[in-house]
Amino acid sequence: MLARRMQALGPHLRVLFVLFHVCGVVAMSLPAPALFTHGMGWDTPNIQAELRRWSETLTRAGVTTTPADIEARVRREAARYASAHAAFTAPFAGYTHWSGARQGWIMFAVPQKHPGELHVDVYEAGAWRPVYRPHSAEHDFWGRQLRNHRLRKQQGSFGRNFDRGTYDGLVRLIARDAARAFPDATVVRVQLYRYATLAPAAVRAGETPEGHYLYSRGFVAAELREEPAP
Amino acid sequence: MSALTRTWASWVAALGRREAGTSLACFRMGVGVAALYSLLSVGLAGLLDVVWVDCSEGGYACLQPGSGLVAWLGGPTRSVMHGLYGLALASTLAVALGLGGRVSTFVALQTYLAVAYANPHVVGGYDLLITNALWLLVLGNGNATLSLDAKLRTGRFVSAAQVAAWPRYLAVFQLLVVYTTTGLHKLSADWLPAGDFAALYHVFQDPTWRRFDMRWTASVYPLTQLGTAVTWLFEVGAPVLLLWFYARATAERGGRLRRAFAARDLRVGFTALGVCLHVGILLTLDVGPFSLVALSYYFCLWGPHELSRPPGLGVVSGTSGSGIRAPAAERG
Repeated sequence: MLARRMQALGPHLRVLFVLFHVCGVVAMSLPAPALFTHGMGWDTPNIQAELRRWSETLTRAGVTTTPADIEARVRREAARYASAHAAFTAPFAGYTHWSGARQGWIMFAVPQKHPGELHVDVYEAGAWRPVYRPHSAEHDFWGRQLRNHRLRKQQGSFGRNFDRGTYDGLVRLIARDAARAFPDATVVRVQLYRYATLAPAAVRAGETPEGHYLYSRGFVAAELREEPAP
Repeated sequence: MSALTRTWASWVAALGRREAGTSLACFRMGVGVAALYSLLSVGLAGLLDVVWVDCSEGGYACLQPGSGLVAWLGGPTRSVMHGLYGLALASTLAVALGLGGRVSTFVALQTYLAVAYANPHVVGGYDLLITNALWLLVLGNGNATLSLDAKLRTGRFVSAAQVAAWPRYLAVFQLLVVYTTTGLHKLSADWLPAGDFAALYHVFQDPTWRRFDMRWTASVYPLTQLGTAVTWLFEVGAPVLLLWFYARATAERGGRLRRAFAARDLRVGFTALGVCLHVGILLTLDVGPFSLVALSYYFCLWGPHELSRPPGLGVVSGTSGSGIRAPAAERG
């Protein structure tokens, strides 16, 4: 009797489950307020340039505003949206987390026009020698690892939301390996080289982006060589 | 019968459909290969310890134990992560080969979640697509055909065994949600006329993802502009395909829109554009197995009977393998 009743209920429970899943997918894929309150890297040159452009576009369209106004408004609205977002995602958060039906589809939302790339140099015989530059066959120490899609993701985030802990952790590993790979080196230096990408006309004219170094880290090679291998 | 009761009954009927398992099996194989690539590429680059082990034991990042399998096993230590990595490799291989039914798929899902999400700094969109797909394969039965399970059960790799169709419908829904929301998240003016449709050009100038020097794209800038516009329109226009599926499923109700949709199979253009987009990404950018896993979802756009037909496609008549009925006029 109970089995028959359950069998009759089955198709209805299936519909309920599918509706729950669909609602969960939609709710969890909506923009998270944290993205706008602190996840975008508001202070980065890329986002500041984006704000300037939107401000110019809106002003041209007759809506007088400034980059600071837009930023303040987006942050304010995001903070107001946060409680609503929390309310409609709460019923689904546990299900999507444990089932793997996690959402979050921010892909190339704001293309990076001020990228940062890691540069590795060693100090040998009184001069600096580059040992790693992106896309350089000549200076390719740790290139295989740094070209891996996981570490590409990490390097990309240095230009968006710089995190000192992960940066220091990664450059120390690279420096330690460099110290061992280049036995004549006395110092290993890892830095983030940041530049603005060029407009098409400038690239066609043969110009090269000019940038500047940030977060320079120097290590005494001998000390790194004495560290125990992990 | 009230409208609500009728709607509910139609949902019960639609989600109760069964079909051959070919589409779900192709989906399962693609997802299995993508998950294997995602894991193996890290191990083969010598990055297993660097990326997924805590800084106290050789990793570059200090990782939180989180609240899942990793925490339960004692945190992201080297021995825990090596064990989980090995289990994830074995179980995703089983998924690709169709061995072990839903149990191996569930193990693949949980171990992949544990490994890939251990370091939140390097989680990509492809990880989300993979875990969503694995969950749908746990709910469905991707091993009914084109699998070692079918071979062991029937002596043949191909089986006509019927499976529930609704997990395939959910895969289609997931794919369309991905495109739509990623399109709506594209807030930069670069994706729009205000930004001169310069988004793809700038993506190619950023060393983060490009496979090789892409400065030559400055010489074909108008093409990158066209690519930007098409990509954005394709993404934000994805819900139209959902509408098409709905119109086809309710064709007997008639109406101008349904007749217009019945005249053409929007999946053909959608698939052609999507394949071009993902092959383009695959050739120019290294975003892990993103294109591979995204294209695996495309198998679910087609019913099992359609997948075995050459893609001249056209209008599907009768109750097709896709579970979508053609208009009454076409059914004769």
